[in-house]
Amino acid sequence: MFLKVQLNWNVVIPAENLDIKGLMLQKAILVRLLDDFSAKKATKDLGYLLAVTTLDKIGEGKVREHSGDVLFPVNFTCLSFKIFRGEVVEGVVHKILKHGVFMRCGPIENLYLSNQKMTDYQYQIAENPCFLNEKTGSRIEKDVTLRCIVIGVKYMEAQKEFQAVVGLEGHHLGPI
Amino acid sequence: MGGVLNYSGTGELFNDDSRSSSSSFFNRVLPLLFLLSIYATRIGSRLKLSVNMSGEEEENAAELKIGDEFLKAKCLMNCEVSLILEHKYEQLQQMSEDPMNQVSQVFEKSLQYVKRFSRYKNPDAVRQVRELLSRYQLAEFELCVLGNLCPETVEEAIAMVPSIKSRGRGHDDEAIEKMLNDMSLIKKFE
Repeated sequence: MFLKVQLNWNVVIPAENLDIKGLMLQKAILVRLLDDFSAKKATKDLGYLLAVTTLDKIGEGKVREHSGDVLFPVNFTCLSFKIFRGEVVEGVVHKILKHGVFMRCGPIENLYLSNQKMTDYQYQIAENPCFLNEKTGSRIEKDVTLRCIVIGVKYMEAQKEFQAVVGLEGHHLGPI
Repeated sequence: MGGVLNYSGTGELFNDDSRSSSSSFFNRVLPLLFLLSIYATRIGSRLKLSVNMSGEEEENAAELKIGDEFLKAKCLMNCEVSLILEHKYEQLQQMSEDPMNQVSQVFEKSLQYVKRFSRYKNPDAVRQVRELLSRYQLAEFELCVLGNLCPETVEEAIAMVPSIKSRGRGHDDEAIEKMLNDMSLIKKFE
């Protein structure tokens, strides 16, 4: 799910960059904010940070005593992406293994669908392996879109990545 | 009552070496660990594996249990995000020769995703869908799942967003069917 969130971050402008006024200062703060935003990449609460959409307010700067840098509280709006347990999502298959398949969904690289969670489908060994539903003839292979339900989500702080486990058990789930 | 296992999110469950995805450890152990975390939730009520939230209630979007801050948050449909990200990308194109180099992987993957999974492309249609769905008593989250998946039947809609039938909001089948029909009309005349 894509979220639009309002955030309040502190942006630090180093002392050397401070002999500018008005619009140039605003630009420096914005550039700094965008850099910080990009570097942050993702948080456990908000998910992946996509883009800053609007700069809403820049507060009064506070001088930091020892360094002479100035800290500006900045209020801004941004887009983020996060999936929730129990959410129905659509993903694209990018890797097929004997035990299951991996899908991409938005910025999430690894949504894992275990063969145990798609009991109607059987693994087919081939040059291009796939999972096949013998009854319906439906195939799960690379680049197929799957509608699935999120069973569990995990955030890895060190890599700033989310991973999830999904299932196909339920009505109206499966290849689209 | 009973033990609660909390994974503190330091990545023990997952192979840190996410680059060599063809290594056998990744292929064999990782899927098993994924499965272990699923089965543990099924084994009895005493052992509770809290994968995501360490709060009292376990997260479940099907019942709209997604945390207060997300219930109140503004959600966007893929088609709305597509318009925003495409516009941003165009701005970058005007400013530099190689816009793809300027954007993060997260931005690039998201842009690809929303372009592929937008049901409505025309900005007017996107606005109409938002206006239409806003007339029903839906949480932002529910509204966007419906706008993203565009179910065709009432049964499908309830399967995708089970919570629309709950919380005594009077979403009877007739109302849901009308909503879905109006959504497909907007698609038709896009």
